[in-house]
Amino acid sequence: MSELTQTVDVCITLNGHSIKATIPARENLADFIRHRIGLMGTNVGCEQGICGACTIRLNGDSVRSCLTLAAQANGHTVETIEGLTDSGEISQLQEAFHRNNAAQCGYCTPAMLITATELLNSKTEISRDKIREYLSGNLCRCTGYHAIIDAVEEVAEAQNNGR
Amino acid sequence: MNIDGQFQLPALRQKVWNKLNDVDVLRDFIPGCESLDQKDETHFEAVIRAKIGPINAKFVSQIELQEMNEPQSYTLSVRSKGGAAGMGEGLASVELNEEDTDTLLHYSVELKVKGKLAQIGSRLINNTVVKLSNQFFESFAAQFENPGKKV
Amino acid sequence: MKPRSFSFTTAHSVEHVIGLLQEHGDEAKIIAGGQSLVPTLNMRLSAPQLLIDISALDELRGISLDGDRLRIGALTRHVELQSNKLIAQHLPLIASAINHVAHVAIRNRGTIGGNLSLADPASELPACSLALGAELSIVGNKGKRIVKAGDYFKDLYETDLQANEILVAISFPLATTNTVHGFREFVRRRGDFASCGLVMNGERQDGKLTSLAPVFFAISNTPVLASKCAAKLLNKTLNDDLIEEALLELDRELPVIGDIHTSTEMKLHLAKHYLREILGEINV
Repeated sequence: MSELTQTVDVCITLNGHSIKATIPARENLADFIRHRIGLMGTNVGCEQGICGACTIRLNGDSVRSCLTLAAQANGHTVETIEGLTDSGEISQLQEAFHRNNAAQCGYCTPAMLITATELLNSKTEISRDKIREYLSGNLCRCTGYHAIIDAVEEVAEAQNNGR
Repeated sequence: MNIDGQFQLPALRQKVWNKLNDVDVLRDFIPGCESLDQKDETHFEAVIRAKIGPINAKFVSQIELQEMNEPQSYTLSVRSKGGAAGMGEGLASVELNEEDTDTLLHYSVELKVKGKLAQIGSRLINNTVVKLSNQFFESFAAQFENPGKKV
Repeated sequence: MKPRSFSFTTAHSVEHVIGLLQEHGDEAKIIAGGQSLVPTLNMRLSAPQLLIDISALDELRGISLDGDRLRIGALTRHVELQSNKLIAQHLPLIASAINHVAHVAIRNRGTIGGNLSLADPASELPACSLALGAELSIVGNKGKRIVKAGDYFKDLYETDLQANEILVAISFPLATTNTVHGFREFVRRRGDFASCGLVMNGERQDGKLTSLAPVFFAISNTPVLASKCAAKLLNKTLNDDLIEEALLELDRELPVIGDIHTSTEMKLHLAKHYLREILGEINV
């Protein structure tokens, strides 16, 4: 059948830029972002959804870019750590990570920032337990997590005081 | 990992033994078996397609019959390679005991799985063995006069 | 690793999906959220020739009241179940279980239809469907049929869903003022696959249970409804002796299969412990 091809035409809004490309159907969103576009802040770890290092934003929700085909992002909005950094949306959290030594090797950090931002933006009450639960899908092999939780908690408290 | 199970087969022990050693019979009843060739008296090569849920991979298996003790017991050594999917090694001992005109088959399997298959599937290896052995023995038993049942 | 090459097509209707499934048979796979399928593609544990993307089919979305049942479209994502007011009000069991389904980024894409089509034995939603008496709407080339959850789960990753069919919606009976429920699971890390879990749904009147569905998951090849154990507990005043007697039934009726992390004995131990806990909780 003519409609079935191994390549797909996509148009993806990536960090505010509209990107059109013809890509192999099997290309996942992580590889699209890293190799096609050259944004290396999205890291690839396990490629099976366990480690969380490839977490990005798709239509405003955190998702695993290794478990999302780029073809499935066609017509949708993708934000990566680069876009969120440039927009300044996560600067407070980035500073808190810096202050608390919450980044060591840095491999998990972009995904941690994206996941934690989703929690901070949710209108739920934030406790240390809640932070642990929310970040349970993001593995870190360096910090032992305490510093990361400290950093997120610090921003949550600052947000609360600001209200 | 160790798994064992038992099946009651409605046939005399020698008949069950003969069927268990008949390549044509095994080819028909091993789940997903695409080919099974006898290399010599005790060595076989099988191509088996494992279709378990989202997994659908082809394995080439080298099978060796060991410790043959006709018509009571033997051990099957299986080494399977699934290309990029990973590999598995299994040792299955099978024992046949007479029970009136029936035969009680007891099996115990020791399994090792490596590679990608182990990464994704290790938690479900036992479940898979139980499912596939039930499938095998249920259809294997059905060829005798009355359908066998799991005991 | 990267997946093998495949073709990709976006379905524009359920009929389109069925047509493609009939044409391509085993070589075609439906993809929705892809949270279970894509790992197996990445690891080359499966290599279909065609993926049929159903995520544009709006007819498969939505959560709505349908008489005395709540209908959930197959494409409804886990995160939508978490935040939906109708679920919170009418399906308290699902509302408490859904927080334990995987991690947030997975819940943001994974769908209830994908979950129930795959039917992982360690997954929470198949167990909830069984405990709640869900009905699954399935469409194939011969039209639509309804399958009760009790007839749907067959064996490890094997359901009543046939190769040329698609699950379109799931409906659940609504909770009443008499409904009691409970949820427990044992996991090594929050959001991972459980080693043993229990979901329970029932009705209580005048201090006695008039119906009870304790469903254990991650213990066998399918979720298991412990009906003999439940029968012991019906229409009687719950006390410790009665509960211990009912727990003995679990030794006989649960076909527990141990795994690499959790032995058969430990799974059975957890199963009993959780049932004791939940019964204590609803008996207060």
